[in-house]
Amino acid sequence: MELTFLNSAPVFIEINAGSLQAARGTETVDLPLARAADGTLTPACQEKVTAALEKFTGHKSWQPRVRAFCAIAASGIALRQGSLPAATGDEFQRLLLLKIETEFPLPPEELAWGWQTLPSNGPATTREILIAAVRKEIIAEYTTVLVAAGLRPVFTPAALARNTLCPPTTGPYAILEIGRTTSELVSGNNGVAESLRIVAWGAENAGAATGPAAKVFGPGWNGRKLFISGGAGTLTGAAAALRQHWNLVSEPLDVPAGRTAAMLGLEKSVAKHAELLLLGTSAKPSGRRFDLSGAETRLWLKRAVLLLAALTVFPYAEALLLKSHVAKKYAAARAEKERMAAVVDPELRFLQALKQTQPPYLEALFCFAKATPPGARLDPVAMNQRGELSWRAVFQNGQQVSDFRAKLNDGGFFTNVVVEEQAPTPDRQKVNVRMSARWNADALRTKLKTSPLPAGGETNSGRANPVPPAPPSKPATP
Amino acid sequence: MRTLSPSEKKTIRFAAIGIAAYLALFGALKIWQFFHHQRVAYLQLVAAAQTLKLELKPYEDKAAVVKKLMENFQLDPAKLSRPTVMADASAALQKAASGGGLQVGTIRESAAPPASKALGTIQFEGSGQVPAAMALLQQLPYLGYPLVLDAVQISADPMRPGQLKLTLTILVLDFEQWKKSEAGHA
Repeated sequence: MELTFLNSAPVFIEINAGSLQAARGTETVDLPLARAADGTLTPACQEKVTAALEKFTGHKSWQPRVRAFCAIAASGIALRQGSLPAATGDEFQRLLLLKIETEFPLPPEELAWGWQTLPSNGPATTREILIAAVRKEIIAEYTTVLVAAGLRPVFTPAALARNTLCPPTTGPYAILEIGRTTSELVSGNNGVAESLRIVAWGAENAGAATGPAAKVFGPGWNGRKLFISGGAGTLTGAAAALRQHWNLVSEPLDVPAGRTAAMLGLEKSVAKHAELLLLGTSAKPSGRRFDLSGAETRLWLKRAVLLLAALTVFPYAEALLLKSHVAKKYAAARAEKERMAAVVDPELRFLQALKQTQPPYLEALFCFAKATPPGARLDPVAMNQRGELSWRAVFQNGQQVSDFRAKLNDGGFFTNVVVEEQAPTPDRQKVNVRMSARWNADALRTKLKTSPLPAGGETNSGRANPVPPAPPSKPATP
Repeated sequence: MRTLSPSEKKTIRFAAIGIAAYLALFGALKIWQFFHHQRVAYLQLVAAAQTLKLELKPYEDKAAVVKKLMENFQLDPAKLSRPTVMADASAALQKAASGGGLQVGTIRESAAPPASKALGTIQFEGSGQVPAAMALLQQLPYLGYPLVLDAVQISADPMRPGQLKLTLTILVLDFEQWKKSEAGHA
C-alpha cells in the first residue's frame, strides 16, 4: 500500500545565481535570490525562500521531510575525470580522498564532493571515475534554507543533470546552457561528461563575436556536436548568433515549458532510478556527544516528550472518556443476556426434554415384527414410556417361543425378556404365552439405524423415523 | 503595623513556599488518586464486559439448536397458549387420526397434578388399518404440540375384523413449568 500522505512526491529544484526554480508534479515556482557582496544569500532572502517553499510543498511539521533533488549552477563547481586502482571499501575511499587532494585546490574536508563510476574499456585493474566538487559552504547554505522549509535535499551539478537529456550520440559533443550574460558549457564524449566551464557569452551579449567566447567557439572548436538549452526566448537568437559568428550548427534540447533542462534531467534520472553524482561532505560526526543545540534535535526531543506525555495520559483519559460508553454497552449486553437466558434457555430445555422423552415405540414394533415367526399371533401388545412392554401371543410350539425370545434378547434392544406364563391351548395344537420385557431406549434409537437386526431382520439405515413395513402381528378375528 | 525584619521576611517566605509545596503535592496526590480510581473502575468494567461477552457467546449455538429443534418438531414454545393447548392438541390429534384413516373412538382428557410438568393427559382410542395406526404413531410428535406418548396398547378390534384397535395415553407438556423451573434455578 502506498502511503501517499507519508511518502510524498519529490521536489526538483534548480538553483543558480539569480533564482531558485522548483517543480513538483505539475506545480512550479520561480523564486528570485538576493545575494550579498560575498555571494551568500541575504537573511531576508533565506526567510522568503523558506516560507515560499514551505507553502509550495504544503509540508506539515508531523510529516516526513520531502525529498528534494537540487541541481546547482556550475559557478564554483569543478569536474575532474580520472582513474583509480580498482580497490574496495576503505582502501578505495582513501585513494579517492588522495585523488581529490591532488586534483582540487582545497582539501576534501572543505569541499562538498561526489563521484561517479564511468563506463570504461580499460583494464579491470583500474576504475574510471568522474569527480565533482564545490566549496562546502555553498551546499551548507542551500541545505539550511531547504531543511528549514521541510525538505530533505541532495545536490548534483546542473550540468550533469542536463547531460541525461542528450539524445544518444557517439563521439564528442557539448551542451550549452545559455544564461543572460554567461553560459555553462559541458563537454563530453560518447554520452559521458568530461569537463565543465563557464563562458562569458549569453543571450544579452550574443552579438559579441570576439572575446572569450571566440576562443571557445572559434577555431578551437573541434567539431563537437552542440546542444543548447535555456530560456525559450533566448534559444533562437543564440543559435542564430552561433551560426553567424562561428558557423556552428546547434540543436536545442527538448524541454517543456515550466521546466528547466536540469530539472527535467533530474526528473528523468530519478524516474529511471539512475545513479546521480551527489555532492556531500566527508566530515565525520563530532564524536558521540549528544548535541541538543540543533533545531532538528530540539524538534525531535519535543516530539519524544509529547509522545511520552501522551502515553502517560492516554490510559487515564481513556478511562474518563470511554467509561460511560462502555457502561452503556455493558448494560445493553447484560440486558441481552438476561433476555436470552429468559427465552432461549427454557425453550432449549423444553425442546430437548421433548426430544429425549419421545419413546421409541415404532422402533420396538419394528423389532417385534422382525422377530415374530410366521404363524404366530401377538394380541394385545402394550408399551409405556418407561420402557415396559407386555404382550400375549399364540405360537405354533414351544420352540417358536424360545426362538422369539432369543431374537428379542439378541442385539441389546430388549432386556428382561420374561415368559410370564406359557400354556398349551385346549386343543394342544398351539402354545399361549404371556410375556414381558423392557426396552433399551438408547439402543433402539441409535443402534437400530446402523446395527444388524436379530437373525432374520434387516437394517433400516437412513430412515429417521422407521415405520414398520409389517404389523407386529396379524390381529385375530374374534 | 511594624515593618518586618529581613529574617522574618525570610522565614515567612520559606513558610509560604513550604505550604505551597505541601498544597501542591497534596492536590496532585488527590488528583492522581481520582484519576487512578476512575481508571481502576474502568478496567473492572472492561473486564466484566469481556466476561459477559464470553457468557453470551454460547447463546449463539443455543439459539441455533433451538431453531433446529423447533423446525423438527414444527413447534414454537413461545406461541403455545396454556389455556387452549389441550383443546388444540386434542383437535390436531383427531384430525391427524381421521386424516390417516383411523376411526376415532373414545377420547378422555384429564388435568395433570399441579406439580407435574404436564398440562394434562389425553386418552385416545381409535381403530383402523395397520398403516393408519403406524402413521399416527409416527406423526404424533410432529403435530405442533408438546405431546409425549406415555403408553400404547395395540390389540385386535373385536368389532372390526382385520383392523387394529389403538389405545394411546398422551401427555401434553406444560412449557410454563419449564419457565418456572428456570426462574427457580436462576
